[in-house]
Amino acid sequence: MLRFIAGRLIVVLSVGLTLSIVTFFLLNYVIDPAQAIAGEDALFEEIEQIREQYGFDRSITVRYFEWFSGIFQGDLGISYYWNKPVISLLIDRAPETITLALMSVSVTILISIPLGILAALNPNSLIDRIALGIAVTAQAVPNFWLGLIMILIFALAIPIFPVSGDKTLFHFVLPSIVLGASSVPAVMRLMRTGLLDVINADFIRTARSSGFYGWRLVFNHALRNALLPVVSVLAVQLGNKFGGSVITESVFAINGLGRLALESILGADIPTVQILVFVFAIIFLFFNLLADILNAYLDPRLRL
Amino acid sequence: MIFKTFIKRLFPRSFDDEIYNLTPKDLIIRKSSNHGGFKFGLSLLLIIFLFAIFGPIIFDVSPYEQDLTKRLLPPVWKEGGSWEYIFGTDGNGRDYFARILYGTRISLTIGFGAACVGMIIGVTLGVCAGYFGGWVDQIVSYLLTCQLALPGLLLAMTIVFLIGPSITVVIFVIGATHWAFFLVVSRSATQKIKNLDYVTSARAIGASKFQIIMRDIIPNTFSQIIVIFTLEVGIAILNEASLSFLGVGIQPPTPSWGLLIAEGKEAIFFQPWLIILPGIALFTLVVSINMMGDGLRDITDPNSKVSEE
Amino acid sequence: MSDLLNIQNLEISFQSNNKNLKTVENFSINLNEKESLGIVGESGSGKTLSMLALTRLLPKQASVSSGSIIFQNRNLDELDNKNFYKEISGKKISMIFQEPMTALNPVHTIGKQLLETYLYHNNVSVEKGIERALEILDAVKLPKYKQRMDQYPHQLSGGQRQRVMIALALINNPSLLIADEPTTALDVTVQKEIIQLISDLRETIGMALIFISHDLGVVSQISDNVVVMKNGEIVEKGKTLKVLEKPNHPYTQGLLDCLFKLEDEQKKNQIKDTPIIKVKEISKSYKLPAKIFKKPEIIYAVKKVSFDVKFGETIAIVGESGSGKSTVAKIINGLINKDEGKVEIKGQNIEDIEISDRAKIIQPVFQDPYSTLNPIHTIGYIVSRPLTINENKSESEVKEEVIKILRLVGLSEEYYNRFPNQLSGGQRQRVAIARAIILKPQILICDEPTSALDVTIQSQILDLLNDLKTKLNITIILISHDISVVKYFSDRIIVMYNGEIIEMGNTNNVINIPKDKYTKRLMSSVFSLKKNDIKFT
Repeated sequence: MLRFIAGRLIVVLSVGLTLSIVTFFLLNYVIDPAQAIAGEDALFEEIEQIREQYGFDRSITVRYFEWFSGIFQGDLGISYYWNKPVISLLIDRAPETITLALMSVSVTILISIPLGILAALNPNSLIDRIALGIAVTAQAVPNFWLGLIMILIFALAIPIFPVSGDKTLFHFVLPSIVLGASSVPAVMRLMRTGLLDVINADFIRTARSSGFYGWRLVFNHALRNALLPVVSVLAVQLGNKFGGSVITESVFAINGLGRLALESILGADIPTVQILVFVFAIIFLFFNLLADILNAYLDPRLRL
Repeated sequence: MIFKTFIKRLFPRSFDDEIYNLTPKDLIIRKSSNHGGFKFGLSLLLIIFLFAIFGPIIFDVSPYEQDLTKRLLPPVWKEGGSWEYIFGTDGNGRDYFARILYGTRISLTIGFGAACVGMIIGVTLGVCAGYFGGWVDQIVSYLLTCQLALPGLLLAMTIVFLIGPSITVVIFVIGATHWAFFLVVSRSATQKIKNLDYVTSARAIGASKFQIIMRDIIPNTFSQIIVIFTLEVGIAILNEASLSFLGVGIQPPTPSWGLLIAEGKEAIFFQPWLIILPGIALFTLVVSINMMGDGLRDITDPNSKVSEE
Repeated sequence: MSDLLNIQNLEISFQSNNKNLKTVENFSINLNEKESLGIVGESGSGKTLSMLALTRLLPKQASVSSGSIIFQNRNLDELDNKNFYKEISGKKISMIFQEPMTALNPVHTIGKQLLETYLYHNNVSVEKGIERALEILDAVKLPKYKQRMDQYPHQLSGGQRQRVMIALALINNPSLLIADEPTTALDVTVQKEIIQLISDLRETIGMALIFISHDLGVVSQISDNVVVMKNGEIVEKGKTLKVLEKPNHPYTQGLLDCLFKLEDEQKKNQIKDTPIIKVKEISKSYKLPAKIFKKPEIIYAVKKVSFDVKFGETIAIVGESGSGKSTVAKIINGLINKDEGKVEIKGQNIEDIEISDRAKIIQPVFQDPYSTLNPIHTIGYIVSRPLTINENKSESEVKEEVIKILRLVGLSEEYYNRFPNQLSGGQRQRVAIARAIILKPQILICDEPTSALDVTIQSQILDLLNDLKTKLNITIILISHDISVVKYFSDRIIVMYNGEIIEMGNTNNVINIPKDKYTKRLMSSVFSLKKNDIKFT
């Protein structure tokens, strides 16, 4: 087991490294940071002054190493836009995004798993068609639009949930539904196909011939097998929520990392954007690794 | 005497013998003509296509002409609306029907364009990784992990915003961040096919690697790739809409549907049609493509049977 | 003795393309307690379906449209599903299936699966359950059964899994065991052990047995009565010995003929003494991908194998799965690279031969007719491809040759534009053979060319190969696990086990006077059907 984790960690670290290099060079070559800070109407002298002041005139490789080594010392750079250390921005905004991520995955689970199971057990029935209909709809609806429609409905027609801001947990209900809905098609189909395949597998026939049937057959014999791929996909989806929360947070005015990312990009705040891309990547890789470990733990064929 | 039985599934194909006198092409045609979802999706998509191509010619309306005296007029089915402006006007007095009509072209162009870019990158990498294995596969897997880890939307936002948003840039950026699915599917398909007897036979009769890839492997992956393609078109369309909505995609005054929604956001409570209509347009387009794609998946599934109606 | 089982006029219908197809009709059998019945038929005969109807395991589209099933004087149709599964399934009637590799739940230990089945039908304590599980594992002669209780199915071999399946089926002491091709997917030597096991257990427990198989030889050994099915109907019924000696129905006679034919001697080619292929000490090993808890393993597929093949002879390489015979074949064909050793074809080192030249000397024929042809190519394209790649002929010349070869393998010109999915298994194999011989190779390597085909088709293809062998004077290397095919077809036999050559020599000598212990075991596992000689050989 340790050998396995070690191997995967190496991949995570090297990918993280590659990504940090790619994003740093991309962002610092494409725009001129001095120009970005100085603003559009700045004079040439002002830009040069800023360039010297901040040290942008040094080689890009040097700047990269400085930035990267800084990360290990806890110095994630200073945001020009907010005039604050990036790390404080992150710490400030992280809890909101974490809450949103966890709640939206819960929404996904609550909708997809039961529907997927029912659909698999009754193929081509009404419930199956409803489930597939929901999947098709959720896949085609633009999530920002869904957010706006929810705001419309819940602000005007049924004012039970707050539509903006992030003070209480209730504020997170609607955004979680919107963000969770985006994962529902994939997870539900996976659950449905997975369970359908398992139900038709030989070992279920063996179980039937031993006398098992009905819900007992499904829960004790089939589900454990069918859930294996679903669990790891859910872990990956959780990882995706961090980078994917940008739109939802913007629409619902939640001050999380996603909104931070959008504002930083619009404000050409390169230090923050750099860190955020890197952080999101690391989070994704972490959850990917978690998914692999879960998979290995739950599936004896991979363990032994 | 002992011999091995042919391993047959318990869902006997022998019972469909008459159907099996059809060529593969006939089979596909027969199956698609019986698949409700596919027919619906394809028809709807064709209608939208025709709209996009011929609409601007048939309906002589302009999406850019502003008339500040006629701002925020309601659509024809609300009180105060008129047939002159079927969908009403936006905050700058522009004909909303025209805006939505012209937006169709943008969504279709970017959707199909980006999916093509993604397909070319993903399938090339995937087939190479699947066929050659070894270090080629390792490198490609590594690239794949990197691609998946990068927060696509974020990166797309950054790049489009910084390089300058034009339709071409948007197509390439979305395509370059969405090839993972193509890679995974073409890679696994290639690996499976590579081990089949007909590929081994091709090697035995002296076919070159290139011939094998082009003639034996890729044609047999078409069906799976087409399905992924339709899926990705939908994803690309929604992606572009998101980018434009956030302000980092297509810029005004070009009437991208995402942009329309962003512009209408301010007036959401008083003129909700400004966001509802473009949303419905997006939904309809993506649903039609997705239903067609799902239908294709069912039709090209080698295990699916032809069902007569 | 009272009737244990009485099935009358069972009819099973399939819902396909909105039509109802009758797949089994007029199926009636009678079984007494402790009796054994064999159901014989080729694929599609309905032999499995009829028993699935009895155990309520029919696939969703199939259903019993008429007929009655009376078991222990009880009409089973009167039982609703819930009661059927609780009282009958797994308790009074048990079934075992063909594919042991996928028959057990991969995420449950062996012990758990046995325990659960036992406790479900019997109200006893867990300790008693474990005791019983160990008891039954011992009875099925599973080696190291105490450790196996905590292991997972993927840690057991095919034969071992089949024993577990049998244990699972017998743990509740059923009155009737239905065995659906339980040994077809297993190696020959294991097959005999399992059949012997089932036979012994049947005596010990005192239960009735229904044995389904396509293999008359096996069925003849284990069943008192036999029923022959074709296309969903019973064509012959009666005591086994009588049916084999004097079959009433022409279909049964046909089956027997195919089997007996293989017992006759065959005319052989003119064999020259000079070797056309020389294999010297070849070895090949594979590295298995590393698992989480295990270090990467190395499998030695072929270990220092040496032999010669003479011009014009037919040499068979015989062995069970994992013996390395297919790997040797692929190495000789140049499709796999060997790690060590030398392979010389007509005096030249195989690495030195140009691919296009090699293609004209040696060609393969594979086992699975369903994956040997590219589904999107026409038959004409498939068979003409060797010519278009290696020779500079005009389009019309190529087409002419293709049609000629197709005729040679028994396919008319109209097949030129057809696609593989429009052909049957036997026809596809003919196309594969046509593709292999169109370049006029001097050596054919046939890897289990008929194993995946039905008996009657198998014998046709073997005839075809025999015919071509003499017409075109081809040297044939035949890979097979089927001793009777080998006996019919080959001059010499090489026996392989675990990557090494165990024994080699003249066919008759090796089969009738085997020297090595393993060869003896292999040969004795063959179920012979010689008219005067029906017994466990």
